[in-house]
Amino acid sequence: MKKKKWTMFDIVLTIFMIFVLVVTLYPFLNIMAISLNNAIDTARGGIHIWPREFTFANYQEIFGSNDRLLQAFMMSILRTVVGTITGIIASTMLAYTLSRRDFVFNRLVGFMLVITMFIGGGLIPEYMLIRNLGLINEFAVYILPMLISAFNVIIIRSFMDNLPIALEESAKIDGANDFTIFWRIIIPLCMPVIATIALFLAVGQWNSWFDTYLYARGNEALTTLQYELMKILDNTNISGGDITSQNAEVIAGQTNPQSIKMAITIIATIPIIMVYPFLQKYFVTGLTLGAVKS
Amino acid sequence: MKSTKLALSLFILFLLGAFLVGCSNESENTSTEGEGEGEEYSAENPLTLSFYSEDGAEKSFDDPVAQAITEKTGIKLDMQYPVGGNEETVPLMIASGDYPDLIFAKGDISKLIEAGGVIKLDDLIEEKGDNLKAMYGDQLDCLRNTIDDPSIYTVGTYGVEGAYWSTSGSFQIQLDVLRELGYPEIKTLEDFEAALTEYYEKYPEIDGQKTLPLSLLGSDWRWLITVGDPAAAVAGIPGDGQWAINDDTGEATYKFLLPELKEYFKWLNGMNDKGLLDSESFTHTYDTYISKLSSGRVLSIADQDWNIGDADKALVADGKEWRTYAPLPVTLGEEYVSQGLKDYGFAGGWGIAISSTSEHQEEAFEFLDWMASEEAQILTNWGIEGENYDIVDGERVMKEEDRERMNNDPDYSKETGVGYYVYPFPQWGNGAVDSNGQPITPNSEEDIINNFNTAEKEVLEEYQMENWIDWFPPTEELGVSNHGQAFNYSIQSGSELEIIQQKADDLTEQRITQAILGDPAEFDAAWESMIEELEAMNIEKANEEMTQKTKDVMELWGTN
Amino acid sequence: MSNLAKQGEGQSQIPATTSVKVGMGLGKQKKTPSLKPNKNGFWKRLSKQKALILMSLPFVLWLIVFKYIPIGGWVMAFQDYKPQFGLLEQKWVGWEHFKDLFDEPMFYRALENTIGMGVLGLVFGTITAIGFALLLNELRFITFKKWTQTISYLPHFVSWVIVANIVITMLSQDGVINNLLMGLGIINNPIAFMSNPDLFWGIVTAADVWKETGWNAIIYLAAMAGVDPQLYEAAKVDGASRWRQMWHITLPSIRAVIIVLLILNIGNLINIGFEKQMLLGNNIVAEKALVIDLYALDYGIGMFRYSFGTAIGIFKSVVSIILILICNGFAKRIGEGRVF
Repeated sequence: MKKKKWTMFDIVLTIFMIFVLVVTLYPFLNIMAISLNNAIDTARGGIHIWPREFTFANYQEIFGSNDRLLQAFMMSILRTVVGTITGIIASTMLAYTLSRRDFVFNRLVGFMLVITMFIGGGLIPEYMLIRNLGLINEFAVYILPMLISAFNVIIIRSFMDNLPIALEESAKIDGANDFTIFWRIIIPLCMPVIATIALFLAVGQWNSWFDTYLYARGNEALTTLQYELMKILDNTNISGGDITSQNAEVIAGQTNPQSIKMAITIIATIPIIMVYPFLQKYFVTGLTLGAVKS
Repeated sequence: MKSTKLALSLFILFLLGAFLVGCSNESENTSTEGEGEGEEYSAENPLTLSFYSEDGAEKSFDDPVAQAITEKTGIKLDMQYPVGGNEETVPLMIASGDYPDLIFAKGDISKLIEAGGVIKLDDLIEEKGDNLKAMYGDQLDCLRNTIDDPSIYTVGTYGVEGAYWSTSGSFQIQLDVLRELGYPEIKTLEDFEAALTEYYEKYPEIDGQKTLPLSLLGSDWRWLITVGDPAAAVAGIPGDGQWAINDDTGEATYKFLLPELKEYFKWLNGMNDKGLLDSESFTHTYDTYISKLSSGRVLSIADQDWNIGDADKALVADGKEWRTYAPLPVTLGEEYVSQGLKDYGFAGGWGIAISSTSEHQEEAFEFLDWMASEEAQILTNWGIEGENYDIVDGERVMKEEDRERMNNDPDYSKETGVGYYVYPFPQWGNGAVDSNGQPITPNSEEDIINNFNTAEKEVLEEYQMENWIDWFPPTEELGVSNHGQAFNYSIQSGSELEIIQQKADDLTEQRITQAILGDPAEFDAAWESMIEELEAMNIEKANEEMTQKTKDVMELWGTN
Repeated sequence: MSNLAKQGEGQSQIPATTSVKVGMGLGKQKKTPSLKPNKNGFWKRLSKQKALILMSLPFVLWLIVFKYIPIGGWVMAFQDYKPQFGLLEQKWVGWEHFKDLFDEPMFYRALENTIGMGVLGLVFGTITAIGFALLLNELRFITFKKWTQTISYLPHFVSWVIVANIVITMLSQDGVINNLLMGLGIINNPIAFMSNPDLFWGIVTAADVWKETGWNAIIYLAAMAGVDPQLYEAAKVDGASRWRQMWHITLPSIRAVIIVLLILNIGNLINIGFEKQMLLGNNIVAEKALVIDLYALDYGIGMFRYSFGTAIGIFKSVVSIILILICNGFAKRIGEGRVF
């Protein structure tokens, strides 16, 4: 990049962005501070971005209370990696066929896909389906039901719609078939959007715990970090009707202090937020067209 | 043109889908009868029973008490619970027909009974339930399901006997207020308000922060605890959730229809108007509420001890014992009797059931029966002899270290198992004694008294009392409830009664909150319009159904 | 403006009457209107598109199995569903649950609130995300840009429980906002933000914007990565200001993505969940906080009324599908992108 003069615009923009940074960083710093603060002291409130009585005890308690965390962490990574890769392959392929307006089933498939964003059979039918497919307690239950998200496919397709066509045309003339065009030309051009979708998929996979509970809790090897943390976090969703003094005492005894909850949030999110910086190189302006020209 | 085809194919898909997801549990329910019968399970070859508990928590069955249980019974428990407070677990169990061996489903048990997911225990109790029979005695009837289906499906949950050594009262007041005002007698709302006003005028600020004479927590479900319940408590109405029930006639009334409750809320409205009620009582979060309490500037609350544990700990840790609270038997007037120490009797209701698909129904039952035995009760309540307690002069005495941890370490029960397997299993309860006449639980009034902090002890001394309960009308005077407690009734999910009550609860929470915060001149009108809205949603019908339920329960239990 | 700029906008210049994409580069076939293929052409194309069919077939099957088959569960809405029986062994009740739903005043209040907060969220969510992405794109200092980008998306990972807690604390009477406003002398007495029903929709929207802007901006940033830098060079030669470049180059270049997201989000207007409303709401503002999903939870599944819950779900699906058909049709008519 050539050296340019800083204009008024740049200065105002930078100041504004610093303001945005402060505002958006606050909740995270707040959680971090509370997680590193003495649990009893936290009850007094007033912790902002710095712990008052610094301690690692909350983290120690979490790691001490559960010896499956490491194994669960590995499983979380595995499902995130496999789920992201398969998801990318599936959604880009489908998106490509939909971007081809000459494709005979373009509209039918497109319509079928979009509709799925807005319909759902509800939990019981979905559970029965997974069960009848024999996916209960299988690793595939993390991958298959989440393979395609209509939203992602449409985002990719709209990106493909914007690609310059000339390349594809020339490849066609060279006798390349549709799959080759997709693989050799379209995919490399789509890296920014693929990076975006990869992020969405990875975050979705990483954050899921409900499917572990519903479909895989019978298989200890399949336990995930989010699920294990969820178990420590809170198992109490008390609603008024359920309260009697005796069970309320039992439940109150199981509820963890705020500091523990915050420490759990930190443990659960730190690994996944590390992903984004690595994907950022695909967001550089001009990358796409640069690739086209070479 | 394509759209017709599309619609047609979607329709076909739809039907196909209905068929596929509909083919539910045909192949299930292959519970091979009697398999494994005669096989003896032991500590070396234990049988693992799956146990779903709606109030359960993350825990493996490997603490010392659990090991002792396995040694004695040859049973291990695989404990499951609804992670994340999930409400769908029981419906999915029913839909799929995959039941765990033992199920503690609280109020959802009626669904399981309806679906045939759990078995009747009557015959098993008759044949081999000696311990259960001995434990429940003539209270066995309280375990029965309904008047139309008077079988027993569940055992356990609450103690058969109960002792009432503590209560949170209708309000709790800071000890310093009592001290500062020369230990006055506070029995009515009037006394209570006068005490708060006097102290507040003296000390508008505590440690540099504004004093809050009364703070409630009405922003989430705890509205029921800190706003709804005290309203009934000050009117001397026993704890039946949202209902006021005449224990003799069985007549039930949705409690917010009663004039006494209006009187209470009118008082609260006045408190708000006078600036004595924390203006954020209905908006602050639980965390903020606790932090206010922990700062010591809240003079009184209308809460239960179990809800403010963290604040109490923080206050004591700060050396602010005088800022902790004492329970008060405050009522609307002298003519009302505080029900803080009411004995609701053994209410049956919820309990542990055995699933119809379990391959080990016999073993599961034997296990539950064993849990009701004296041996098991001593083990689960006291732990292991020599490890958690000693026998001194023929009496069980908890080890000092265990006693200390039991009172102060929230993880004690989880780590050692002591006390962990009491609720929701069959239990004798506080105050029950074993065959040697010794208490079956380590909890004792003495223990509670010993645990009072220094400020509490001083205040009690000034009042010449041993325990806060001495302020309250004693349990014996209040009589035992004939119908248990209304929230334990099995009410059909999705029934009209449930829907009306849900609507009424939603409405009253909003309208009462608005009325409390409104202009006192408008309170009566606001209240009237709420009553009208309640009537419009057919609250009368709910009253009738609830009355019928109560009568049925009393007939079933033979207490009518 | 240069040629390239026009090429960037090329797509929108296709006559709206034909859905064939000009320049898709498939020789003769590009002139065949896809809506009315003659038999011969159809089969011919079919056989030429084997690869495309193979590439979509597995996923179409996947859609049928994982998305369409569970829709069979919709029959529950016409039954008195009891989970112990199979779907076809239930008692049928016709439209009863829908009648119950449409007779319920609470439902209309929930619908009004849902749409109100949905529209606010859509408008402000979209504007802030695009605006933020545009500004971020203009940052000179690359390292600073990357940090800003990463940090701005952090709140997305913080659960609503925590965010709601922070928001309520900040807006409390001795919270940061009131202190600030009083310090600046704008107000004399603290404002009770959380107990004013008129402010509730605004608070939810603001909290949502705070939490999700950075995350939502990612898609737009990705789209901007596809803009040809030469366009900017050309614009600079023409002496266009930074604002004009944003307005005339960046925005038009990502127009397709904006339109598509807008259509999808409009379809999702009614699916705003209930978590934030439940956590930020209280009994004073409850009338403004009740949303459909919470109603469905409390009065449907929460009471084991699966049939009633399903009826609400079907209602929502129908609304969504109608909305998306209208928007998609409109977008096509004005020649701006499409969803299907």
